[in-house]
Amino acid sequence: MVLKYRIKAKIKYVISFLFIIYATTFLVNAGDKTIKKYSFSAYYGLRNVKCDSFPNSNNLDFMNYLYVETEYPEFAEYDFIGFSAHLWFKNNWDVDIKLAMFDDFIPDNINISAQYFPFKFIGFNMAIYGYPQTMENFDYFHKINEPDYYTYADYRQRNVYELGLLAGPVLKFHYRILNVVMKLNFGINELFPFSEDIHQKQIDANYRRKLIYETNWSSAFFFFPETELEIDCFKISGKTFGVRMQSNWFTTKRSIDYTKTVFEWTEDNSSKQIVKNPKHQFSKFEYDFGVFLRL
Amino acid sequence: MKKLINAISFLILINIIKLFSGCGPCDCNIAPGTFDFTQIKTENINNAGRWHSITESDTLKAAAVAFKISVSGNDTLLSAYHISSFGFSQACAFECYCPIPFKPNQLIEDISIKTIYDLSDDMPAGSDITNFFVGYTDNYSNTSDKLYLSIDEILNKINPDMLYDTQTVSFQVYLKKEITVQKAQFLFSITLSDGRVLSDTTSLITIE
Repeated sequence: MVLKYRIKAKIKYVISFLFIIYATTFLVNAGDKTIKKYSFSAYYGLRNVKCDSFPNSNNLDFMNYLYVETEYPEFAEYDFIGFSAHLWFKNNWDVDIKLAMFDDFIPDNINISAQYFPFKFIGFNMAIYGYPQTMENFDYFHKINEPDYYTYADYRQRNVYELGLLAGPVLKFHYRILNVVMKLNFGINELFPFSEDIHQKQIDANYRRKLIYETNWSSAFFFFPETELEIDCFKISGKTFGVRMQSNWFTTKRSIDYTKTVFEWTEDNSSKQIVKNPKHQFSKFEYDFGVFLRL
Repeated sequence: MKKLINAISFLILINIIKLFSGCGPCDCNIAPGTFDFTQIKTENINNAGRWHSITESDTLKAAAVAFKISVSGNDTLLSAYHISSFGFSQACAFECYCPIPFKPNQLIEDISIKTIYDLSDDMPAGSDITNFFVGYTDNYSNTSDKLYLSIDEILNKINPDMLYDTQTVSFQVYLKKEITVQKAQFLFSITLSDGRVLSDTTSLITIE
């Protein structure tokens, strides 16, 4: 399963990268008629995650096992490097493509947005936004709640992926060497379903069972303000080099519901149960620093 | 003299070629031997932990009663023979090992398990308690926390097309019920396709 996920992720990477190159090249070449200017940037950032954790109930709650740094809470849960391209079109449209990756070098943190500015400073933003996060050690639920069993999970860590659509007002202004963009986004995202198997054997007994958790598509509304600041540092041959800083805050309330199938003794002896878990308050705060080149 | 030298050189050349071209896949074209199932053997399994193991002990946990049953032929295992060649031996980094194939003359058609002592109200002495067991076969074994097979599924999987270097077919059975008495003993009967029944009784088990 991990291999299948990695292959799919690498395919996403190739498609994304080719899309950026094609889109940029095509539009630039089509271009002087279409694009006023464009910029590329590279950045390094950190992501802090907070998620409510509820006491164990009768059923496994996967939201309790999202990766949150507890040993060193002052450290961010994730760090990433990213690349982005920003295109300014002549008909008051801007396009922003951001791809970021963790240490696995899979660019699956995506933010592809389009903004339309009917006015000089105020416009409207629409985007596709997706990001992965790690979930781990969910087999501990069974190890803690069912100590008279040996418990094994096929995989004790996985990435869960959320992909959503967002929209909202955008404000931008430029003053000398400063460029600021502020977006106030609201959206809805889906948590991709996944499946996990837990195997158990009772201690001092022959009894064996297998639990299969199959999660459902899970929607949640989110609020996602973003702020970006660019400072022009110097110009060479009409090209502007500078530094950029970006931060955003993402908050939502969601649960991970699933169908639990329990096989006892043999594969043909099973029962199903639909489990609905309570919603957890989840938020993440990101900030990154980088450089840009504007042409 | 010149002809003799040419002949010797030619023979040496042939063997040198054979030396280096001999390292290929082993040519194990051995006709299978046939045999009759004539013996049955039962062994106790300790299944209290995560993994099961054969045990010499006659004490088993009340909810972990399990046995390994082996059905075999009379002949002892024949050792494999090495491929030999005329001239120099092959210059290979390995020896060619060809397992001896065996084909049993009978199929295992039925498994029956009876309890010799009273175990509970639904398992009185002498009753057939086959349905209270599940298990594994040689080719479907518990190497990765798999669930068990039913006895019917064991019968579907137990007859191999061919055995290699062995005349033994074995499987394991695990009792689903917890035994509440102190002593237990079981009679295993295997019915073969030629109508013969091979039987064996387990040792007297002390329930812990």
